Amino acid sequence: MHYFLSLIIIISTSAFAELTPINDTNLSNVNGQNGAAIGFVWDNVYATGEDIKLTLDFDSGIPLVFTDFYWVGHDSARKGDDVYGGNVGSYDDPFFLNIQEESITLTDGETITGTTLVTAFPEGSYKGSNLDAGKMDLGALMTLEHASGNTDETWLLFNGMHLDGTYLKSWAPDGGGLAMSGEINFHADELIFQTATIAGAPSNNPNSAWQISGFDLYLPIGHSLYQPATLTISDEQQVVFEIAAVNSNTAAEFYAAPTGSIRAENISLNDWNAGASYIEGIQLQHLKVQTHDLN
Amino acid sequence: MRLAVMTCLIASALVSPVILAELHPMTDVAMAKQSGKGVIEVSETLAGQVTQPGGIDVSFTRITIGADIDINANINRLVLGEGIRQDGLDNSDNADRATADIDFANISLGTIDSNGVVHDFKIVDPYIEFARNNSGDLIGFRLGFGEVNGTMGVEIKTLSGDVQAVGQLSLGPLTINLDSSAHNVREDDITDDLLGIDIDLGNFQNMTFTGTNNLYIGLQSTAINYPKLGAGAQGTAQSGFWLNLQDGVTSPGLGLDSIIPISVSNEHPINRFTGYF
Repeated sequence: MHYFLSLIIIISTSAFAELTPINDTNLSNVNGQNGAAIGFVWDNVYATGEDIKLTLDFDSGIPLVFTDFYWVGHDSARKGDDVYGGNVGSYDDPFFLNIQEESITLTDGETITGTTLVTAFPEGSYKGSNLDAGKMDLGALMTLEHASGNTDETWLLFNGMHLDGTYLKSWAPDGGGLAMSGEINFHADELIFQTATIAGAPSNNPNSAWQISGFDLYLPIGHSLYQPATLTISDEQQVVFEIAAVNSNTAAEFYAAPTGSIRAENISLNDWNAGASYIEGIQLQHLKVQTHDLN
Repeated sequence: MRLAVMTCLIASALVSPVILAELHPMTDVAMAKQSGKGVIEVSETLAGQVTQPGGIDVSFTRITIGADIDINANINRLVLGEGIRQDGLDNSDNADRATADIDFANISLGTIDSNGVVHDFKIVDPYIEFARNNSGDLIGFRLGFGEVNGTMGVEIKTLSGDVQAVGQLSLGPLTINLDSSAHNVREDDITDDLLGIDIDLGNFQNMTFTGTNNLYIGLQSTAINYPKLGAGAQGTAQSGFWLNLQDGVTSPGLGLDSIIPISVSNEHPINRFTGYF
């Protein structure tokens, strides 16, 4: 595996000067005052791993294998000497962790307060601009080895992608457990699913791929304090993901919040050009996903 | 790098102790059960197993997720395949509406009743399936569902696909079932199978799904017969975006103005809280 990473932590030198040991009593009182933030800049980062092999072995006996992983600067070579890295965040707008106090007053007058831990990609190193500086290329080769002996090989290529503005908040609700909310902001210049049996793949041959260009996804996942999302394991050992239902007491906040959207400027499949596709105004008033065994 | 590690440790320590207090380590027994066995199933349909238009060879790979999804959501607009079709086909009576293969507005999944109770739309075992020709090229892709139940509100502007639905025409206390179908690209009408009356698809705003299976939306570069799943009918998916919905669907509340085009009925189910329409 090859990698190059320069991680820069942004904390003012004056802040270092103020650091003193904290005793247990004081530590237990730390509940996340606003401003306890720490910023990161991932500068010139890339990773390539031809030898990495991730195998998901399903009960059906057909393993799903991911190999030839790479994460490099946009339009960088995927292998060899021409690989260069990309950036996540800038000194002015870093990837950051923050602890903050939040409160919200509901329709019936009840005020909910809480301390949230925020993990966030920068707001704008790419977002809203055409700069390539914040974009990365991500790819891997997915291999399915069927019981028949046939093998499906597909390159999954995310070109010019970034997650600017994506964040995850977590907090401890009154009833216990861990609650979450967040927003997914995902952009990719191109999403390509390309069969690897074609000579020279991955390539830019549009006749051999499912290609989505100009892809943007914005999706709120719950809302902090009043519409929590939870991820738990059931008694049957199944995964349960739930976004709490809106109710008449939280409806005003919910309907005033931004709605989700998914847009693709163009979708082509093999030699068929399907044009633009989009979904607008997505509001998740409740979602519960519980896995179960298929056999 | 040591500085980075140290800083990460400090950052971790700043996490609310209340949050950390709720995390419990998994036991070995519980961990041993977390293999995800059976939750995801991969299956293959070999070339030749499903007869294809033109006799071409197409193989399929389907990935199914074992999941029960209860969802209540509103979506302002769903548009798939916007622009002029490569084959130029258009079966819409109104050219202004036929700007996309599939164009749905004001979609609601589930309902909220007058008591503020949220009723979900239920989806079981979603799957994705890829179709390849004998050169290995991807020529089709579909997103489907093992079974769906619940109420969906929608204003259909244009539809491409095989749709079979029962429109329930209300005449006072009398309800007449109109078996109706549409099997084409960029349609804005659905045709009553008995009388041959064209009903504007915009009237089918209230759709009730009961054990509906074989429901999928696909995108194909050429006409494909996908493997048939479940009892619901299924035709050949044509090029472009294509919806198959031919099982367990009723649209109650059609009025006479649905078949006599005086105006478009507005029987959209309610899926917002009172005061927030």
